[in-house]
Amino acid sequence: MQLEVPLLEFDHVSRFFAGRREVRALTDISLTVAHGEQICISGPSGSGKTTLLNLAGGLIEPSTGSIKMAGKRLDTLGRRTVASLRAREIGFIFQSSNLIPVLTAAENVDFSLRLAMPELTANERLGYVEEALEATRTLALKKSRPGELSGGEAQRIAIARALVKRPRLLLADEPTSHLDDANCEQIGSLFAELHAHWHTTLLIATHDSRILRQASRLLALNEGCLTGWVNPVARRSYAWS
Amino acid sequence: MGIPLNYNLRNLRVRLAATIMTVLGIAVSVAVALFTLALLHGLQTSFRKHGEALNLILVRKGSGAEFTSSIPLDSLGVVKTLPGIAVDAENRPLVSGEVIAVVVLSRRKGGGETNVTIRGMTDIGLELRPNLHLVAGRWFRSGQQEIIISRSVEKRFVGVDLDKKVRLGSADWQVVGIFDSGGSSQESEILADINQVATNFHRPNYSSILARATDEVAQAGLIPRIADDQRLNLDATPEQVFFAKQTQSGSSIRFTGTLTTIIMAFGSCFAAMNTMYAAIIYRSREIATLRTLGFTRASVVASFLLEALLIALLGFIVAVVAMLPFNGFVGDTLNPSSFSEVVFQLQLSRSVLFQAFIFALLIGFVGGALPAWHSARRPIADGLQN
Repeated sequence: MQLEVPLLEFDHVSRFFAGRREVRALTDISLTVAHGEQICISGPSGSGKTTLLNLAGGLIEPSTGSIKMAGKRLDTLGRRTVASLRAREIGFIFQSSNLIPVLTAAENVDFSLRLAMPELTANERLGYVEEALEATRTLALKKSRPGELSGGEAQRIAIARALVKRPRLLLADEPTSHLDDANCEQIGSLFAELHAHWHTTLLIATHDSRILRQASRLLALNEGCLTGWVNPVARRSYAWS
Repeated sequence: MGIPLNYNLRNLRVRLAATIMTVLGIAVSVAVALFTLALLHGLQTSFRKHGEALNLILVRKGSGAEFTSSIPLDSLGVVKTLPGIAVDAENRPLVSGEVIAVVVLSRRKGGGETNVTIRGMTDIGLELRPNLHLVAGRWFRSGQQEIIISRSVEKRFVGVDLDKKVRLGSADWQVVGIFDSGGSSQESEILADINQVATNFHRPNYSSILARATDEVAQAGLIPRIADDQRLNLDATPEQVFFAKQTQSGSSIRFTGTLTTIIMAFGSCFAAMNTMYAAIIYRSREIATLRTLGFTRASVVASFLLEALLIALLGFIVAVVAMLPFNGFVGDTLNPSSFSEVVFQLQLSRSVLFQAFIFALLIGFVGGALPAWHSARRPIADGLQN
């Protein structure tokens, strides 16, 4: 029997930020994320959630320890390869949508796809873009510019942009923190639908109970350390050892 | 894969006011460069067109210019007998003793007076200048106080009109013809019979001798032979080289123009840099997002450089459009070799446009490179938090 290689592995990862006073953002994190998991990370502000996601996405490098994606250590790959990995395998969703303001909704989604799948023709790309917009229920907004959209609409288009390239890993950093209750509800159910339909591995930093409820695993972070995890099915908490 | 051009074009449109200001800043610099280059090109063309490939111009040793040269009359006979001198259909040696003097004429536009060269020659002198064509009237006749002029002289000076008399020096001269020499500096001169010029302007000697060699080999042989001939005491120079050297009259224009262009180019570079830095600060989160999506540092640098080059290209187009009305504009400068005026045309030739194009792109590149490099160097996580 062959064991499946985990999608993401953190092996004793620490991350410090140099400055007048050294900031220890994450300390000795070891973590394994299997394919298809939906993991939520919670913790107070400054606990290291964003740093953990940035490390997982190859946006920053660990100060110590190593991170593997699909069995490959990110620190051994060149900058170009990591960029290519981000383009093809990893989708990002930020607190605010971060859509390119000069492009329409469809163009924003297409922009990401062009880079991920340059082999597609314009017609094929259009099909992918419309499918992603349809999945996030924003197809009617495809010609709108980000400035013409509400926060919830823009965030759903940002999700479409992340999903259009069918990433293996979707990283979301507090995607509902700037949204009202109604929009939070919509985004929460959207994640549930997308996870069921696209089988994407999700790593979401959030405090939103509607999203936390759907997680297959909850990680608790405090002052840069993993302090525990919760199995929501069993509804039991475990101290991290 | 690079960032699509569409992204840059839209950004230029979104920041329209800043884009227009930078485009205009660059356009002013490029226009100054275009003006200087066109002016120098016109001046060089004017002198380069003056002269036949096989002609040699002989002046007194050490004088370097016709105006300061004085050649005894008997030297002409010696030169005619030298081997390698070409002859015409009537077997006459193609050697022309010539006399130049300076006359003062009043400008039609702007007032004031200026020096104009009057050249005395025989019909062989005309034969040695096959690019001279009569466009109106007739050639001057030997023994008559007649002159021929170019269209530019006719247009530029008061009282120098075809079939009219004009006072030059102490005598009245009849304008009998209008000639054309394809835009060469010859068109700045008045041509007349040698004896009439010598008499009226008290020139007992020749100013120069123009001679035609049979071929290039003979021409190359004649130069040292004339220089070494103790009877002559003359320097021989290919006519085209002799007049090309006189483009030094444009050296002050070149210096002033180049200096102005460089100073303005610095200003434009800073304007472009300022615009690009402003764009980068404004778009720092956008740049971080692009890199998060997977665009590499190199593609971000290329994209911002391309944006700066697009601005520079627009600046170039604006400058060319602004300068087009000046294409063909007739200007003048003092030729220090003859102390007289040389007329030339401002020419926006292909080479001038190409040089200005490269200059504009250089401004764009210098103005865009540093901001582009800085934008790509910034850590992605910092940009996202901005």
